[in-house]
Amino acid sequence: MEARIRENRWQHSPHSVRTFISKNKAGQSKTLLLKPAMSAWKYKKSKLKMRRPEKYTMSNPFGRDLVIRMFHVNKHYGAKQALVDLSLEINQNEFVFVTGPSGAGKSTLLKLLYRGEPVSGGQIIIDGMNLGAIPDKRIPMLRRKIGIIFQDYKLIVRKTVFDNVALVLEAAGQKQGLIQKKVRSVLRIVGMEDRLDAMPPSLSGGEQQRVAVARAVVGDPTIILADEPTASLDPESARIVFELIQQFHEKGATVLIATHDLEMARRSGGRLIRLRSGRLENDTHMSDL
Amino acid sequence: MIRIYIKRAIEDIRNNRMITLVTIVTIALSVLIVSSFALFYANIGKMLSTWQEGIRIIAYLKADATEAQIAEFQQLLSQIPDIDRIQFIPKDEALAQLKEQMKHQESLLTHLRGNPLPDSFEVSARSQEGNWDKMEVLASRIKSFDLVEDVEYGQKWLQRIAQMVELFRLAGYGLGAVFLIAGVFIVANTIRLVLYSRKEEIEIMRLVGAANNFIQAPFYLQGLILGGLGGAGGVVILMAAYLTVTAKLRQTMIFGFIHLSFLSPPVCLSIVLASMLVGWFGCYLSLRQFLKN
Repeated sequence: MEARIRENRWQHSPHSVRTFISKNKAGQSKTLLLKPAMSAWKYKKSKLKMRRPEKYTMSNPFGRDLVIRMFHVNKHYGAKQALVDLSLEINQNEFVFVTGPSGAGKSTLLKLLYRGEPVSGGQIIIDGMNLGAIPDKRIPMLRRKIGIIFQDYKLIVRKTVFDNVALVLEAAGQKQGLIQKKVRSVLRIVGMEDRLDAMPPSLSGGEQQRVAVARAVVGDPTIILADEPTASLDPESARIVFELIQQFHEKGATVLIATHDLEMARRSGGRLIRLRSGRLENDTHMSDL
Repeated sequence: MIRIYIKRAIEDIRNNRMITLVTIVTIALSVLIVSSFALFYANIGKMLSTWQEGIRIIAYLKADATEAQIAEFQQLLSQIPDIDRIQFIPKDEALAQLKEQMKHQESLLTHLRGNPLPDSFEVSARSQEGNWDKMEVLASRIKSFDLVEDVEYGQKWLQRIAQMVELFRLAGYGLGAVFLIAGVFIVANTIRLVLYSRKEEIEIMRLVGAANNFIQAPFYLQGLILGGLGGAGGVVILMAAYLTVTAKLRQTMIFGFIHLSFLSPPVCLSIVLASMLVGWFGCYLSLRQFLKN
């Protein structure tokens, strides 16, 4: 594709919506979202009301595979500062650990990334979307690009394992045939294919977290956010869950894990972002340590 | 997608059976009360029209009226456009009719000296459905002739019934409005309880990228189902009551004089649809408030 359009670049995002980054003669770039199987030519010729570059999409002037950009982000809850002037850039397919003591702002950082809460100051750009500018009704679109894993699993107790995982695809409006296929496939990968009809309360913590991982990845997200994913698990379950996350990272996802578990971070390599009192204390690569 | 929504709506109804049942019964009772008024109004209105069509004005002539005057008067009456039919009833025929009607109390008439009844004209007006004033004007016009001693027609009691029916109609509207609002709030409350019981689930849905439409659709369906079932229940109860009452009336003499009919299928359908709308609106109120939070 790059050979065909010299100055333009394609990015594949979940749900087959391709991001077309176009550079004009002046060197300015803009991001377009295109429907699948539609060429740039068709896009330009089409008289249909297509999804034009939206006001909350941002140009990506760096030409790199930046997935997350944070510009001087602040977050406060009343008088309490949770994040202070945080600037970060995270590339596609990076494996990032966010560590720090309790109250350092790890979970807050993740919450801001999936727009669980708005920033108090600064800007966050995820996959070309400016989170400060997107209207509320577009938040689901953002979240479909992100798979989230929580410490407390957040599975719906009244739904079966299958239904919990299928929910992501149902919410994205996928067809039943595809849902059946993908959910079974992902549950096979996480080793839960024989517990499709089980209800979450009947599963162990490790099993529930494996289902949560399956739910996080079933929509082929660009980014996986995990907030203390192994904190409530026994070492063996923690290892399995962590290996699963690594497995999906190898398939191309960008992973951000907020954790206290430095040992896990050390074992896996990757980038280590250390926060203290909401400030960036250290941003390094494991190999540099 | 619709299948998923229906599945979730039914799941919710199943999980909240008791509160759903209470809601349906309450809506059914509201619908029953309002549609009872509608049924009463429809039947009494029809009955009044029938009675009204049968109203005749009797013009009693003065005792000294000559045959020539009577013929002239008949000529004048026939020129009035609102009059449909005129029938002259001579006093002898009137007495014979009276005797026929009172044949069981014949003794009352045996001591009569002569014929106390006057000659009269029975005048049928053209259809004046619902127009009492026209009837009154016609009667006054007939009475204004010198030859006429008095006029008589069943205006007063019919008018009183009509006023009562009007009162019932207004009461029906008032009660309808009250029960409509009550229905909306009952459904709103039910959906709110379901929403709160599923608060965590909805939060999780949002986290995995579910849009508001995806979250709301099953609740709207639920509102429609509750409203529809309540409405249908109300109509069914009303029909059962109607059949019971008509079966009882059939055994009495009264049934020959009144012709009752149930609400027409389009009216029944409208009642059910209106109940569904009530359910939908109650749901809308709850969701708007809940999702805003």
